[in-house]
Amino acid sequence: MNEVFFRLRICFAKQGRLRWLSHLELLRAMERLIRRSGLPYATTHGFNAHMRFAPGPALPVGTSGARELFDVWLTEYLPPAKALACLGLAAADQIPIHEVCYVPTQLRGLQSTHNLESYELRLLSPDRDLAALQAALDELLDRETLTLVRREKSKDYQTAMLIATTPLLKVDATDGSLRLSLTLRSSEQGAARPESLADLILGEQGSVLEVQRLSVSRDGEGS
Amino acid sequence: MENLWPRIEGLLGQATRPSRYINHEYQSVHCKDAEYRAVFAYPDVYEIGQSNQAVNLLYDIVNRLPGCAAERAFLPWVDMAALMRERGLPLFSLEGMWPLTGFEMLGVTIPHELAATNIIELLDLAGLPHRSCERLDDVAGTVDNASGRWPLVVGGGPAAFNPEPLAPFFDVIAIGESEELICELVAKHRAWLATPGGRLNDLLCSLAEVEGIYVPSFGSQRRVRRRVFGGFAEELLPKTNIVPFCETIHDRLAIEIQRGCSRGCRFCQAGMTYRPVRERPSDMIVQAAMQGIACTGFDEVSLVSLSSTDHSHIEDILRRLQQCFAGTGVSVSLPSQRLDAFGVDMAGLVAGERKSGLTFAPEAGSQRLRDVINKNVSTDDLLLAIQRACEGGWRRCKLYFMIGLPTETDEDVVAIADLANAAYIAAKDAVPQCERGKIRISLSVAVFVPKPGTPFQWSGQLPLAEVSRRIGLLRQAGLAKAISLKWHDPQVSQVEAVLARSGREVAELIEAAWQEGASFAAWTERFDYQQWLVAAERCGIDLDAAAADDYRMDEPLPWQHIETGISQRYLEQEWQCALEGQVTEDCSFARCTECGVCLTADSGGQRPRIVLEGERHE
Ligand code: SF4
Ligand code: SF4
Repeated sequence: MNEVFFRLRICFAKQGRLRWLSHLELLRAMERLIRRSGLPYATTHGFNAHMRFAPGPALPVGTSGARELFDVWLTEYLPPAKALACLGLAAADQIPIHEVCYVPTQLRGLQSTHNLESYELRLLSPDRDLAALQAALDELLDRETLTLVRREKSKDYQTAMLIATTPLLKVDATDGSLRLSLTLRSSEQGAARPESLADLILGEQGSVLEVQRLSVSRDGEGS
Repeated sequence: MENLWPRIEGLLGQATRPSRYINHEYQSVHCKDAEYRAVFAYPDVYEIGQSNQAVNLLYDIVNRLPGCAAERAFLPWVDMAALMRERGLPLFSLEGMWPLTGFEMLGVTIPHELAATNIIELLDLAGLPHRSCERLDDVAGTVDNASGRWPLVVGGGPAAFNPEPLAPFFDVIAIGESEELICELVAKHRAWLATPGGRLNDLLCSLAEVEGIYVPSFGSQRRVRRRVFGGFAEELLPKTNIVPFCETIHDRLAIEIQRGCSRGCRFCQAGMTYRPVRERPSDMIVQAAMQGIACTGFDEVSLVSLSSTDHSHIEDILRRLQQCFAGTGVSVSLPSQRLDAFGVDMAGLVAGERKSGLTFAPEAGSQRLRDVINKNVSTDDLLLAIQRACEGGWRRCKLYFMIGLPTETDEDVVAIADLANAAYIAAKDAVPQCERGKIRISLSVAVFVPKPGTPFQWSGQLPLAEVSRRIGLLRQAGLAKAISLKWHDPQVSQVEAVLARSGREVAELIEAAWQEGASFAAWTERFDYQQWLVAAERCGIDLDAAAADDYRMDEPLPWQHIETGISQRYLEQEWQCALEGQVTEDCSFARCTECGVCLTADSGGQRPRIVLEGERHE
């Protein structure tokens, strides 16, 4: 039987308390949300069928995401506004659903195509001022390779490959907090954590208070 | 009350599984305006407690009472508890993130004996004095509802049928089913709170009048009758189900399709203490499953009860659910398999291609011993069930046995191996030659723990040294290679027995073991027998004797004042039948054997299986 599917891309936020969810927990929450939304989701074949979906790149526990993506296959076309309304209703106030759109079904998985991740980090730096941090950042950007440490393991990245746009350090006008925005490119080398880069900029006493992924996108798509 | 969230959130980066603490799950009830607030706490981590039906049931019921709000609380894992103590943060409720001390009532589930030290941990972390007498110190009779500082601490659950070991820690203990009891308790508590100058003693006296409520400070002279929820078949509770973020141990929609089991296994406490058997009608179950999946988004519904395949309409229910969930990726599951061909057929109906493994519990190896414990299955039943399972596509099965059952001999122990080997041969014969290598049978063996309220309540537990010898016998009995053998730690079972069958004197042991660091005793990696030995030594309790000594038939038992509804005469008679190896029939399918539970005037002594009119199989 030739089945026709429609691939619905859901753009949502993982924020507030939900930033403490693991990738798997978030996927389970999305699956349940879709199931109770009543959308005509497609299932894989076989008796133990499950929902056909493709998640965006994983977010670690503790990191929030402003515009995360999740694709689900539908067996029927529903006008996007209708689909959005169904999802919004089922999401209650837990997971804000920003928008939905249809994308070609034959696209590859989001995790392999979407290689740019833009972040904003809130930093605490008791011992270095903005100028000192900027100097540290500039010095890092001049290096050919960056050695990032995560869970006591270090890994080298080509600076030009990893850093997609020049990172911006600033003091937030509204709350006076220190912010770092940057876009990282994942490659065969794997994805780097923005906190590891921030750790290099911050002094001994500095720390990362909050990490938010602003968006995921593809090279050439802009973020 | 202070919302502790900002301070709790600050710790989450260092805690394992932060999703345990974030709350705001779909369908949880938040910040309801209420004049009476209750918190239901489960003495284990979120993923265990949130899977527990009782917490969800009570939460749902109290949230529906006008003017009342219910919240949930779970014990944080040890890493989080240490962080909280370091920062001086008390145990908090999930919804409001409030300290538990700010509630009018704190309900604590007593799910099993090994949770005892976790209950102390819970009270301690909440900042409450452990003992009821320290909280309700009213020697002068001056404490009234205006000066009382602590919530009313209520216990209840499957392990409360001998309430004595934990009695000093609770203000009141609910015995039996709580659906109606909780409403009466809340009403009386509220009335007392609203009475100017209400004395504490007045409250306890008025609560003691509620059927099923035990007030430990009044002593064990007064008899307390187990509460039975008569409306079980008329209504499906809970009406709403919380959808957790954190993966729980039973991460699915649970529908209780039946309460009670009348098979009459003589070791089984639940089988004796949840009688009579009550069934929910099949239409109600099917409707609840469809509606529940639609409003929660779960991908599995579990039809729970002590013996779900005994529901008189189980086949019809399963077929209808199969039909309505076809193609949706939603599956149906049964928690346990009946040990016969019908059980396997029903398991086949829900399993589809997901034939990971089947679990059977013959409990004893020889027919003689199975007759003693009244496990009414024959070797042929088991072999036929295994054969059917293998023909149906299963390749793995797990068999549960107990060692140290009353009257057990060495031959009975060796018979476990014989039965397992026979099961393996039956399995091999039932599958094509090329599939034989895939067959795996695992034996899981636990030491028998005598439980109050059962015909075996007088029996002691097999001493540890003898357990070791019998384990040796089984190990040497020549199990086929494809059969693996796993033991439930006998020391854990010993502590369980001590906590199950002792009197109030072991309250001290529980507190001492907690001081020695015993918490999460039901978690294999956390159980440390040494802590219990040291604690026992400190309290002058002999663990070996407390677990292994028999009670005489004519001596008063520590739980004598708790009436489960099963008559003393019936238990004695069943014990006698056990010794003679005589079986007693299941009253759901044969005649009433007069256990005493349904012997009311209007039933004329015969009410074998309570179902609604029109639901009975002809
Ligand atoms: S079948 Fe036996 S062991 Fe199982 S619940 Fe019933 S009485 Fe208990
Ligand atoms: S009184 Fe009779 S019918 Fe009722 S539970 Fe006991 S044995 Fe069964």
